[in-house]
Amino acid sequence: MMPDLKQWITPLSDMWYTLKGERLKWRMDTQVQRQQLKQQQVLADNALTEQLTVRSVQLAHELALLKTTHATQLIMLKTKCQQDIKDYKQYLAALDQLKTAIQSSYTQLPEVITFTIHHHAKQLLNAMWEAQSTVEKMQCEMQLIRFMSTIHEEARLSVSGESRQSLPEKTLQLIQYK
Amino acid sequence: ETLLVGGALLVLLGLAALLQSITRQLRAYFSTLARAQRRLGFTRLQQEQQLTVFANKTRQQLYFANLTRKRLLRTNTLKHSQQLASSIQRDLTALRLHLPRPTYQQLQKKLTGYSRQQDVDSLLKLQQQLITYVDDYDARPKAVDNAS
Repeated sequence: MMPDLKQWITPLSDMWYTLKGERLKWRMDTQVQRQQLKQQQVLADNALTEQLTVRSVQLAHELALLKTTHATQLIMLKTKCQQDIKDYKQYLAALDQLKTAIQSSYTQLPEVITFTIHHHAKQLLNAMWEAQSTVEKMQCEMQLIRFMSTIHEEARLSVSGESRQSLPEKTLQLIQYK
Repeated sequence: ETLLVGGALLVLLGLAALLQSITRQLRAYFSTLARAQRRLGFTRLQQEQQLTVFANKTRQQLYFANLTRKRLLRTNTLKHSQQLASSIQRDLTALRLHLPRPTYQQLQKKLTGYSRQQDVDSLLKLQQQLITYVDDYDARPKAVDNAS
């Protein structure tokens, strides 16, 4: 058995040492080129790493700015929403006062007309609030302001006795031709 | 035995190659370049997340504001529809004896329904309908008087 094994191992080991010798010769011949290649690789890697680090720092700075801007915008939006709610409450209170003013100015006026006027004013208010575009919003706001000023004017004339009409006719015309 | 030794050698060579590959991959993963690339990718992802979070927070704020406004509107509509329903109920009660029973019951049912739904438009139409009944009733005694 031992001579058989030696028969296999010897050529193998000779081949192994031949290969190693050739490899050593190749490594010595190409040592300069391999060193240059390694240097260039390291330089390229370092340059790329530096670029990536700089870009990373820039992005981190932009992110911090973005967070600050967003936080400010959210606070402003919250304040605006709170103000809008307050304005809406005041508008609703104004419409309730309007109803009371009509009832006290036109004592003989049927309740259905008072409720109709109040309901129409509330519809105009909600149309203004739910308008999508600024132009539409402004148009609805102008309609509401015109409507309310007409009612108040007619109520004032009725109370002062300058008007003999038993109904707020101009207001009712505005409702009819909405 | 030769085969076993050869097989064992092959396995060892395979394991060595595997270990070498793993070591190479780990060195590449923890290299400065790879860490810089990962840091950049992470920062980009954070930026995208920040934009998404902002858009969602804005939408949330507007949704809650709209919800509050609708709650205020609902409360106000409830108050006025109840006042209107009370007024209509008074008128209907006054006309009770002068209306046919089925008509009275139908009107009462409509009043209850619209009042529960807070449907102000329908309540106003119902009140206008009652006014026509009141006008008809007011006209009737005058016609009877004129006839007599």
